[in-house]
Amino acid sequence: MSFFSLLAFSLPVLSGTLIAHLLWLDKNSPLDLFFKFSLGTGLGLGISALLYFVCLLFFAGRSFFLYVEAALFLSLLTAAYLKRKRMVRASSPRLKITLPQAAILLAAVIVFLSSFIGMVNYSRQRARGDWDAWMIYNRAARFIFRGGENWRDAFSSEMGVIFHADYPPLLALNTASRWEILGEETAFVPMIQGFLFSLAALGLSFGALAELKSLAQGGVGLILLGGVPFFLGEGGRQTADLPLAFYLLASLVSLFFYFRDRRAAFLALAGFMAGLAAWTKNEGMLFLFASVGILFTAALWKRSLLDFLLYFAGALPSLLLLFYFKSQIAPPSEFLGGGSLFPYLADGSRHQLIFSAFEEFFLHGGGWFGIGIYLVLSAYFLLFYSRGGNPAPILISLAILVFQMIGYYVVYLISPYDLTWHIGYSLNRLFVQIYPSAVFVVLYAGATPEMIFPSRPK
Amino acid sequence: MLKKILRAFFLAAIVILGVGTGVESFRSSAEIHSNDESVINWDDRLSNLIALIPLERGMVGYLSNEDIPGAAFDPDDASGEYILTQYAVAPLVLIRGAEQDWNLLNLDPETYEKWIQENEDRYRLVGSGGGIYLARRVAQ
Repeated sequence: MSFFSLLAFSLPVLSGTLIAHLLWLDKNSPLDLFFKFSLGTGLGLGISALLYFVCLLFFAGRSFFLYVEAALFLSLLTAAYLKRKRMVRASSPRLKITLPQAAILLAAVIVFLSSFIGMVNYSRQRARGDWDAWMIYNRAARFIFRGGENWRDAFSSEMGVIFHADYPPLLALNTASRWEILGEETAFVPMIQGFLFSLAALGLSFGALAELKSLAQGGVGLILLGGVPFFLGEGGRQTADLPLAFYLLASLVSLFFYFRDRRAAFLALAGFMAGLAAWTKNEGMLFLFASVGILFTAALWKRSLLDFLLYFAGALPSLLLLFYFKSQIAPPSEFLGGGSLFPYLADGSRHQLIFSAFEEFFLHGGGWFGIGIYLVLSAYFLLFYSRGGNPAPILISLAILVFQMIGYYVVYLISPYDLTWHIGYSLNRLFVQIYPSAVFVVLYAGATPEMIFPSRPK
Repeated sequence: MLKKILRAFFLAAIVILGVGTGVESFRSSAEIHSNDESVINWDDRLSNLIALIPLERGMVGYLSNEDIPGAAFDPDDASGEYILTQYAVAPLVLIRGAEQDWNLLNLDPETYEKWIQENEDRYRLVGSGGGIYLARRVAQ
């Protein structure tokens, strides 16, 4: 069943990869294909979740989603074939790997393999994921798969608040649609979905840094993602934090490509990925609001709304469906209890507790020997920052991430739960969500290993 | 020059620590305690009772020690069992209390005895062992 579960994901993954291929038709080296596959995996899974939601809205209880996915795949394959015929193939330059590059890539491969096999081991022990998986995502998937025409009961307002029926449904939709295709519930499906998003996040970080900066910088990115204790373990838990981290990273990466190549499609892709982030978890909506706000401010500064509109257009499909989901299907969030927020906002002890927790994680969380990984990243940024290139995407991305952090802070401030419990239960995962994006921006802004260890001419 | 040395040192430290952590996470992953059995066992324990519920859609009551004033319970266990029960009964929605036509009871023997003395004539009960019962409300 594990093989068939993997096979059930092949159509969305290949469709997403074909879309990435169509966007980067001129890039065809093995490294580029790796990048396209990584980006396309998350893109395809996101599109699949949107399509399945539309199918449920109009044709619930009828099992033909496989044909929808097959039709999409065949259309994209035809488009790729036609485009390929029209293109003149440019020969890609032969890749020469220097000794420092080889050393870093070897280390990155060791980190990648050991961390990934560690995650597979974790999943073998916990095939059904962790607490949040049964409570939220796999629970909702069971409702959708078993409920047929009554799939909306997954988001019933009668259900206990603890089940978070208001959470965006991307993971649950993908799990339910794979179960529908396979004709049975199997624990391999959410497990494989977790693997795919983990691999996609690593591959996207590596591929984007290798393309935008250098091969060794991609390797350093891989080491920073796979070689820290707190990040990759999330992939085996079958929760939404790592998929969300993927979409945040994918949105920022697309933004960087836009600033380099000035192709409108990349900006729309950045918006689309931000929309998928909102479709994955409520914190993704925060990211969407933050990025829309920052880009709108940038547009006012430049006195041109075109960039902003392209981004917004990309986010629109997910945003419309999410609006329908939130307003017509899901119950209200527990954060919108209706009471006044002022007592929370004005409570100094809450500010102190949240600030201390953020400070503690920043200084000591997620890194090595009690030194916080975000402290390491900050030191890296200060030490390696290299002028040159376009600072705009760095500034915009950092501003988005700072607003995302401020958003997390405010969410804690108005949390209806016991604050100490809430912080203890979730803070680590909030830092996981933005970690790949933070690593990417810091490494993009920094000097590469090739600059630090230049290879001598022979 | 100093900056270059610092950068080289910093980069080397990250590579070494990253490799060390990756290998350690691989090693420690073999020692992770499995929690799958608790999910599977709970599904199995409830499956006989769930099969008796003739609803394809709707609500099922859930009564545990947590809902009965004075009854002893461990908050973590109570919360976990509530979540696993909802997971098992999907696509039926679990509602706290025993006011639905069909209700699942998850009570320790002492609490069950007290509860049944007060409610015997209101419900028909089927047991599944381990303190889990299906209680069908009888029309009064």
